[in-house]
Amino acid sequence: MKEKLISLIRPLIAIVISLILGALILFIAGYDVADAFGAIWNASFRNLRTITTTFNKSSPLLFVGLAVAISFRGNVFNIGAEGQLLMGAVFATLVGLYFTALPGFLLIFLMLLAGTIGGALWAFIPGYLKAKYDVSEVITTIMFNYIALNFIGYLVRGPIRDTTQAEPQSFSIARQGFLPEMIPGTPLHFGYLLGVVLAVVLFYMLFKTYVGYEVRAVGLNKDAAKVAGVNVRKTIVGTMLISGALAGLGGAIELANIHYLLEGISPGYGFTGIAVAILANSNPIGVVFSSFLFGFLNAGATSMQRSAGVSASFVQIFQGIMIIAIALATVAKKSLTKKIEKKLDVKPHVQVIEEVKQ
Amino acid sequence: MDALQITNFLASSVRMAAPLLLASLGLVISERAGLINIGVEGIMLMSAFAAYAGSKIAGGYWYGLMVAMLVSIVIISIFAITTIKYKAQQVIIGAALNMFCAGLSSFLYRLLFYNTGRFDDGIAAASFPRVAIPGLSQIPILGPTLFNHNVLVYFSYIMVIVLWVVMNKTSVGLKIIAAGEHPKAADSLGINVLKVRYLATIFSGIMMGMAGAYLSIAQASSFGEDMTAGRGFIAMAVVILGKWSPIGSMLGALFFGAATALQLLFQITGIEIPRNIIMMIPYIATVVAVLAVSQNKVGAPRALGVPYEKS
Amino acid sequence: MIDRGGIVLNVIELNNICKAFGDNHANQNVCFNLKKGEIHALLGENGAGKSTLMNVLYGLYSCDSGDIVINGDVVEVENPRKAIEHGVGMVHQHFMLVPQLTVTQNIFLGMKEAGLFLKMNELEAKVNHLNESFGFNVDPHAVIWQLPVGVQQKVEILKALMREARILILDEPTAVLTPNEVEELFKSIQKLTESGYSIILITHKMEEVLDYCDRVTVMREGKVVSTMLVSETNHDILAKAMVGRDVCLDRIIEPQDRGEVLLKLENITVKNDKCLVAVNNVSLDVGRGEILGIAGVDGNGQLELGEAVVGLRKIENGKMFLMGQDTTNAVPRVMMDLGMAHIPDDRHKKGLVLDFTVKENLILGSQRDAKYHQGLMMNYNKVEQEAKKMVEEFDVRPRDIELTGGMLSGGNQQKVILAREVSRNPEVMIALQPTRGLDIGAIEFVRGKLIEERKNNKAILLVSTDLDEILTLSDRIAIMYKGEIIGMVSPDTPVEEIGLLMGGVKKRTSKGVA
Repeated sequence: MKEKLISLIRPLIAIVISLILGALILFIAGYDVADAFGAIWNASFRNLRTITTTFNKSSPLLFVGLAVAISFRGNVFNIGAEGQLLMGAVFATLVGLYFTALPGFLLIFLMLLAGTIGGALWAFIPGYLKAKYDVSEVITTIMFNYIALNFIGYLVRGPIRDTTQAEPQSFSIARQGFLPEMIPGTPLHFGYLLGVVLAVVLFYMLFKTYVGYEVRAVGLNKDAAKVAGVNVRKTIVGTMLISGALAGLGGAIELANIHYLLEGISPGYGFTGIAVAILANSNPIGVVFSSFLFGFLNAGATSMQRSAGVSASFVQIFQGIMIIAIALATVAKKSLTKKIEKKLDVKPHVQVIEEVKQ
Repeated sequence: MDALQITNFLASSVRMAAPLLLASLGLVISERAGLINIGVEGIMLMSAFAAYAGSKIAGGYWYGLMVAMLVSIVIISIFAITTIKYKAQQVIIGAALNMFCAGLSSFLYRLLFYNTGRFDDGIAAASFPRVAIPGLSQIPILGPTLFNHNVLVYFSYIMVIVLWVVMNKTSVGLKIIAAGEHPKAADSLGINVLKVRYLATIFSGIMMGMAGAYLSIAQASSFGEDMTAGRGFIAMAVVILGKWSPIGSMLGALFFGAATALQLLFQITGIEIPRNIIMMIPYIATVVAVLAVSQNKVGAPRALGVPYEKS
Repeated sequence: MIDRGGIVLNVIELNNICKAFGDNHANQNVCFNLKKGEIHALLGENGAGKSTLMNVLYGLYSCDSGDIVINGDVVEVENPRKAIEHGVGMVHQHFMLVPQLTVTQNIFLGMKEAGLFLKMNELEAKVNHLNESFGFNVDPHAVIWQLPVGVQQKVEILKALMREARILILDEPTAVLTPNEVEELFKSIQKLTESGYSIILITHKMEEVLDYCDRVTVMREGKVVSTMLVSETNHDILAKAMVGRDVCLDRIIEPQDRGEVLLKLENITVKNDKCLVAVNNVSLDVGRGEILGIAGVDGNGQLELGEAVVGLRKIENGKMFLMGQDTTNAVPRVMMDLGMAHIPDDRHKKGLVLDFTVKENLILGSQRDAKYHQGLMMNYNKVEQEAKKMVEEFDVRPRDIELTGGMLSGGNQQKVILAREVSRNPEVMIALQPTRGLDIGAIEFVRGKLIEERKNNKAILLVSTDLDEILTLSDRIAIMYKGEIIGMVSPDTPVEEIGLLMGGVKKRTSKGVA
């Protein structure tokens, strides 16, 4: 119980620290801090419409957050959720553009399926290279981000460009492929609900099934898992596949939400996903909450720029500080428990001798 | 393709290689001391901005370079303290710094240079001029390729030699290698492992600062958001490709420089390939390169990414 | 107590050293002295406090109370550098050498005398000079990882000598050496003492004390039991002092018939991590109800052999049969399903997931057993039930199955692994270094369980570098040397003969019993 409480307090402390540092930066830069933070708050919680917008904005973060969280659990540093999300969006776009004869439900299903496959494929290659050839997934996934981004650039400037638009973007997908609203008249769509359901499923998968047990075992000690008969390579590739699939699905949903493909479809969701996962201690249920927090910040950033004149990139600064704060809090906790352990048990053999004597 | 085109291609390969080389030389030292820093991308970006701002505000490219190096040192200190002293996960802190720097550079760029509804007042930042080396630069092909660049390019090649000497011929090199290979052994001989790691990291920060400055006030004379476009990450690949040696990194950087300059080559040869496809080349080359060397990991420091804790 | 008359000089005096880690008093009022030119053994079991004491002397730990007197002066030794300045050098059990650097580079690593720019010729000449003075024969150009352990150890000693250490602490120096190399090492040490060097030898082997040392200090449970002249003591006295009771190193297994062959290796060849042949053309078989012990000095391929058998290392050549089935290069899962259990050599790295709870660790490898899950879902109630039974039966302390594995002591961690492997009810058990680093109580427990399994007609392959362990437990002993089985002997073979085999000397008289 106490353990659980501590694991909740840690992210809270990190959030407070980042808020203070963020405020300091704004203050030094000469902004009205209250104004800026107020704008963020207002943008999200003024009325039903803004609240649902926040949910809408956190939807892609929820998916990439889950993607990064599961990869972290398996000790795979998937820095490529961004690229996987982009490929998911690309696959969904192609389905949405070319299967226009399909009825809405089927089309949406196919788009999401295609996006899931696209993301999984994009994660499969780095996962396979890591498992088979021990190639660092950090570098390959990052490179795949850039390749995916350029691939979208190629598509929206070439083959699927909507030439009626000034900026390069694709044609709009078929009308029936638009994501239905969960609350009519608001931007909250069913994709978000799907994300929440998946978070619960993922939680059970990680902590209540033997597959999750093996993923965690591989994540915590690959060698011991191997000795215990776990197929480590398969597990690593599998973890990457699930991770990529989640990010790709998030991309497909985002695409079905905004209806056309463009280079800027993701303002770095994949990277924010890292912050989301870390804040949630890679716990899928926690990701639901942390993704909402970052969605709230993202939603607020635009209005902060509009009303207080603070650049929206301030949110990125804030995220960076937050990750560092949490990473430090994690270490602080570890060294604390270590100190306690040391007190109890530094010379295990001596202790055992005493036990035997008793 | 004529001699002029070849010369242009070679010369631009060298120009494109320079920022990669500067950054990867820094990384060679910090990685050999045992630290893996993916924050190099962000730190280069932030330095690129700092160099631009410094050059613009103080009115001189040397000021720009100084500011870039200072800012880079400050930011890499965050990495150093959190990972060396507090033993936080290096990849996580690196990722955080990338976000932080991307945000901060853009935030400050808008704050300082977005006044009249547009960036820039139309006046370019002062940037490093080319300095042709008398005599040598007159040699056909070789001259323009190697001896008609700005001083940062020359400096990067001097550093290749300097670092080769340091790593192979001095006791400082031994200490760095020991800190990255077997920190406990180093510690048992009275070497302050943490200090070696701090200094190696700070040094890498200085080099990253230069690499960033190169992008904004040598290769260009302006700043653009995300102008690094993955060059920091590619520099990490260069280190792997160069097997953690300064000379290997030089060859690796030239390889990637050429991969980037291919774009130019395609343009002048008139082959019609969409720009975005050409732009993928360095990234694909990176994946292929790290895959190619993955089978022979000789050279990778054993304690890379592992915090050192005194028992 | 420097005797200015020049009779006896105590170069080191440790007075009333106390060092506690939390509630554990690793050193309690320990007094120790070292005379100039002597070899002084510090004898004791694992955990007796000898390493702690030497780490205090070498500046790796600071003591809670007590004095360190070196050459008559009370000194503070805050770190190893200070110790070196006072002329104290230490050769650690795990060598402190950088594998990628050369011998000379390692020796001069961190030395101010080396200067900024390394003049390799000069430095190598200095190494050669030391080489000549003490009869070492180490190539100063050689890169460390290519050298045999015996030579690496000499490099460690050279390192200390180059730093002008006059007092050398050797921590279990013979653990990794062949009998021949041991002989050679002590020859060098004797040469050193003749030149006025003083040696502290940390060991738990009584033979070394009796054969080579001048005095011995025995420690037990953090205290000094006694300090004696070696000439006035013997095997029994030392043994009693060490463990606090009479020990019997007699064989503890009852004779029993060997049943059908369950594990069979035919001419297998295995490579090590450096892609060199580690196991060369080895054939052996293990039958029901027998323990086949594999003896040998560390690093002769026995570990690679064990790893190949459990499916963790590729068999390059040859065949392996488990329960009559060809399992050459089968994955660990297949081996386990056929009835193989495995006690790995490294608890922390390969045996446990330290961040998992004891409960989770107890089913590691069995997570896919039908009894632990329905469909995909794990049945954690069942897991808890079984885990509770296991910690009870195997006496894991404390009995808390929710603790993480990392919070247990070494002995209890090994019990968790043993519980897990035995409960799987295997037919064949591969035990790699099952008691390394454990205290006596835990060692007895582990050995007892192995004997029990033998009684239950399991086939057991035991790999251990502890010859006593092999001798007390095995029905047959295979001795490995440089990747080959150089001899297969019965456990009543004279120890000297086995020792020779371990050093690669094949005698015509040694008869195989296979």
